[in-house]
Amino acid sequence: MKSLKITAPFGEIFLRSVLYLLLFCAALELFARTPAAHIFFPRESYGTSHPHFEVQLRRLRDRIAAGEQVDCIFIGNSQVLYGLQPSVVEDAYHEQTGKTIHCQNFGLGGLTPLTAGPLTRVLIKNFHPSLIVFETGVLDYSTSNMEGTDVSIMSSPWMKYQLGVFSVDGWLYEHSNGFRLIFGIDRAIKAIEENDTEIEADGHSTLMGQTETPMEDQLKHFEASLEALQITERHVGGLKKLLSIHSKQVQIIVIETPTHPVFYASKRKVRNLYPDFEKMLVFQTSQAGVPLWLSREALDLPAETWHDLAHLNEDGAVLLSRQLGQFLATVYTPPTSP
Amino acid sequence: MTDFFSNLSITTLGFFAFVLITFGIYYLVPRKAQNLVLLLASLVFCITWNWTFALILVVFSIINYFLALQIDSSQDKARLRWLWTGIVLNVSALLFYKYFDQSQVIFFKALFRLGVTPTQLELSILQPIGISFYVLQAISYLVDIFRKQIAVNRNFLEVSLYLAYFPKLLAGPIERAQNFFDQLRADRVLDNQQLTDSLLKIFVGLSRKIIISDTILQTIPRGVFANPSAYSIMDLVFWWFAFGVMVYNDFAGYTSIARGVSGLFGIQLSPNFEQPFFSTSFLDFWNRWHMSLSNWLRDYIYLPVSRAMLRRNPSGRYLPNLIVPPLVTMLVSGIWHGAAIHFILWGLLNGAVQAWERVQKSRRKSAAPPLTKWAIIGTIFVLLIINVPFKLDIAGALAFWSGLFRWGPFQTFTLATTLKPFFVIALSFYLDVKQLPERDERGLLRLPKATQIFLLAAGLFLLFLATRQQIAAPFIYQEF
Repeated sequence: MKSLKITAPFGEIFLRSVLYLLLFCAALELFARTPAAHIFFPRESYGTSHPHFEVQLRRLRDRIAAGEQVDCIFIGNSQVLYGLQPSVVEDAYHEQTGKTIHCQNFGLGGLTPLTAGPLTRVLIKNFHPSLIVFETGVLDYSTSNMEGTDVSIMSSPWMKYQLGVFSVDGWLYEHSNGFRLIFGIDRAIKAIEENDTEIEADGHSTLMGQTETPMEDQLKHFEASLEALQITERHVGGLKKLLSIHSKQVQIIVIETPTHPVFYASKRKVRNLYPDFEKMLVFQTSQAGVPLWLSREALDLPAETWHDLAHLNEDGAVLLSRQLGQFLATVYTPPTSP
Repeated sequence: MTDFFSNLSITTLGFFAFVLITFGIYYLVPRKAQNLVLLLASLVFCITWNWTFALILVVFSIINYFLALQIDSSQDKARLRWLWTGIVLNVSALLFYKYFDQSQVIFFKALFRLGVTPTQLELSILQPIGISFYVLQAISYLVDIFRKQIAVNRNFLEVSLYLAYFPKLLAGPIERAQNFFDQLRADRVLDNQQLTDSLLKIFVGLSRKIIISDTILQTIPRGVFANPSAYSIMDLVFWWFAFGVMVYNDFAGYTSIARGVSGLFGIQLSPNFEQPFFSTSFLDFWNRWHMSLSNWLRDYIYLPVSRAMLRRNPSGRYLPNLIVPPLVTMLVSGIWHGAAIHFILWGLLNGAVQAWERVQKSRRKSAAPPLTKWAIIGTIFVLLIINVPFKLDIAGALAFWSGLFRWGPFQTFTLATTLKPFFVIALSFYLDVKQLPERDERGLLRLPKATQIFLLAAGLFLLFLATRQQIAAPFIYQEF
């Protein structure tokens, strides 16, 4: 030990830095818990790189924090985000049953059945809805879509923490407003950079009119997904995990994503795969006792209700949402209704 | 736990846990056993990457140990023969592991025929970590013995440790044998001052790597280099400059950490950078950038070539004497960085500007005082342009250069995109300016106490944030 000659005092600057840093963190945390923080820093981060996830979570948290009740959450990909308007669903449901439900859209671009199950568990645990509506279409079953969104959501320390995997980051994202605020600044900069979609308080986003991108180019855009269309065991496994959550306390309802008429007619692979997809969906939902709405058969959405090949515009969203509200009226009763 | 201690890169928590354990054992054992502790730790460090790397390193050490003894005990032509045997063996090993498609080796081909797959042999990862660096050290050791500049070292442990010492194993600094052996034999004392210096180096190194380099890496739009024609000249210039700052901080950060960690064991490693963005000439730049490699190239390539040229024509103003040595030296440097045409082009371009500078200098009658500010800007501007092939292949480099002559569409030059890189580039220059008085990290200790406390607290905070959302990228020079 002769070669080690460390004598006191040592590390004064380091200790004072750590002390000031702790004081700064405490001040930041206090500030982040004030309403002013929400005004000046409207974005929060939960450690995902997904452009919608954190905004949707914030919207949902804000509603609950404001004392509102959320009975029903819509989950699925961007077709849910743009295609389902909670207020229209609520109105249609009320017209049919005379009862009031409160819905929130939690559509996330690119979400597939692989992540739907864990995401549903986390939403139920945190927000206690009594109904989860999962919209799924044949395009969700493309192996080319299997990694991006699912990885960006599932690798989030917050999601892992919610699912029982402890990490310091997960704990901080859950319990520290200051931590979420700091990374929210980063997210806000990225949002400007990426020209993020505006998401309303009910989690829905609107696409107006029709895109100017020619149909041919839109089809080309989907080519990789279409080539990789395949109902894999992993996909079905993901769906099964979601359906297994169905219970008396929390009802799961599955609806099929409507399809653009041109898209369906122009791609043989889609046409060929549809019967298998529908058969699988009918089989899995009936096994789990989950209500299923095959919207493609029930709805005939004209071309002008589509913004592009995959997404409904505002008119289409109203049509689909009204139909969904009417369907829900036949299969769902809220636990407590005014 | 196994994952925690696997592939120990020097910014990982696993690495610092490993250092802490080694540190504890090192200062517990008697002085005589300390070198053995460091050697064993170095081999364990190697094994965390791949056990074959440790094996290769041991074989390497044995071969070079005996070659050195042979050179020392031989005379005249035999001495030269042993030296060349050593050089050829070392260079061949480097070429084999670094540049050779191992799947084409007859031995492996035979194994493939027997049903063994390339994946089973892990051929893709057979390039042992740090081989580019310890091969140069081995060669310098043999040459120094041949030149009788140093005495042969008969202590196998010291020779092995010279090649394998873990703080410098991944990417240098490339140490000289005598400097290293002297330190291995001297008493090592870690006092308050040395501990402060070491921890400061580690802190600055981590800041350079994680806060500056990794942040720039994450913000550089991929298209800027992949498809430069889609970007404006402003985009290209800004991001290329940012890339230069990124490479600098990546490597300077690595070196600082390596030197800091080594300092904890009482062994001082050579500096590798001296604020290269303040260079006033090309020659000055190479005296400030990757100095341990530059010095190696100077002593073992440049000077021997120069001497050979001067033997043919002793005039210091004879043009080939001025042009050939820098060209050959930088060509070797290019090949050392990678066996690709763009690295050769990179080497030749750098050699050419150095040769031009030497010619200009030889023609100047009196040394005019340089306009420092403009000299710095001009040097960095030219260096940035000629260093494009360091990153891009020939086609990519040509596309990038042609992009610099078009106005082009503005894509990324917005506040949102450039805010973070601007901030970290400014931070890089701030660190450099503050390091200038002492020429290394100790310059920061000259700052007022309050500033030191603020910088340390801010740095710790930024390091904490930066390590939350990003995974540290591997060090660029670790790849060589």
